[in-house]
Amino acid sequence: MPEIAEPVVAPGVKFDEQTQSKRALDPGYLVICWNDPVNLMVYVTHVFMVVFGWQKQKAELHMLEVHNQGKSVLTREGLERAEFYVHTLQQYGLQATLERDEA
Amino acid sequence: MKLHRAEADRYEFHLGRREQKVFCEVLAAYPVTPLEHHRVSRAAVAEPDSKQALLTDSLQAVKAAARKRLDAFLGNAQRFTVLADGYRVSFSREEMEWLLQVLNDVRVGSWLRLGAPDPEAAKPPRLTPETARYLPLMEIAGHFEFVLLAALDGTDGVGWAPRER
Repeated sequence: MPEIAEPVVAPGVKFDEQTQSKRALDPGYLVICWNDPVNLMVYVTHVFMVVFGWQKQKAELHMLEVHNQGKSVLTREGLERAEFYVHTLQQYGLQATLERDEA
Repeated sequence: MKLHRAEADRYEFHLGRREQKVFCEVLAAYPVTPLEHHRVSRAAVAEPDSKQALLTDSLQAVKAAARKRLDAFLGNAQRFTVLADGYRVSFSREEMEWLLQVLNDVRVGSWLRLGAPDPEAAKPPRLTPETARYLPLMEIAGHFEFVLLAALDGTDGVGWAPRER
């Protein structure tokens, strides 16, 4: 007769608390690029390709989102990485910012 | 300015005599964009000053290094080979990226000096005796950017147009 296995206790509230506290410590940041009338569309596409290593098609989609919607969320990162991307994009002259991910 | 040859990591351009002079004058204007233009956030709840200070310090160092590099470039007559009908100059892939950043700084900074004109919002450039020079500077910087981008893309520029959707 097989032994009755002990019920597995799923990590409940305690795990959730840990997750929440970790999230509170490092909430995540959105890297956003904003539209302006001066940066050439082809230039914006190029910068996205260089900075993020994206294929042209993906870079163009984000560029068009910036152009048509006024902004595009490019990525969600931890603070350090988000700052790196914002600094690099601004070095290229794009209006990029980091915003806390409140979601 | 026309792409003459692209091989591996080098891009060789031909420039007319006046064009070469204009190219150097546009580069010599760098930096034009003020550091205050660069904002780390647009959130209603402002980010700590340390994040803004980090961005400002970082860009200040980048611009200082770029200016120093430009001085060396513009002061080196060997960079442009004299031809009967103009000049030839070649850039590495890394130099192309650097030049794009320099030219775009001149373009964006000129746009700011002109009062951030926006054709779609029917906002014309603010033209005064002090700002007038920035209109051609903005347009010509954009032209050179376009030439460099087309060379990097391996097209004559047409390939940059987004596909019809």
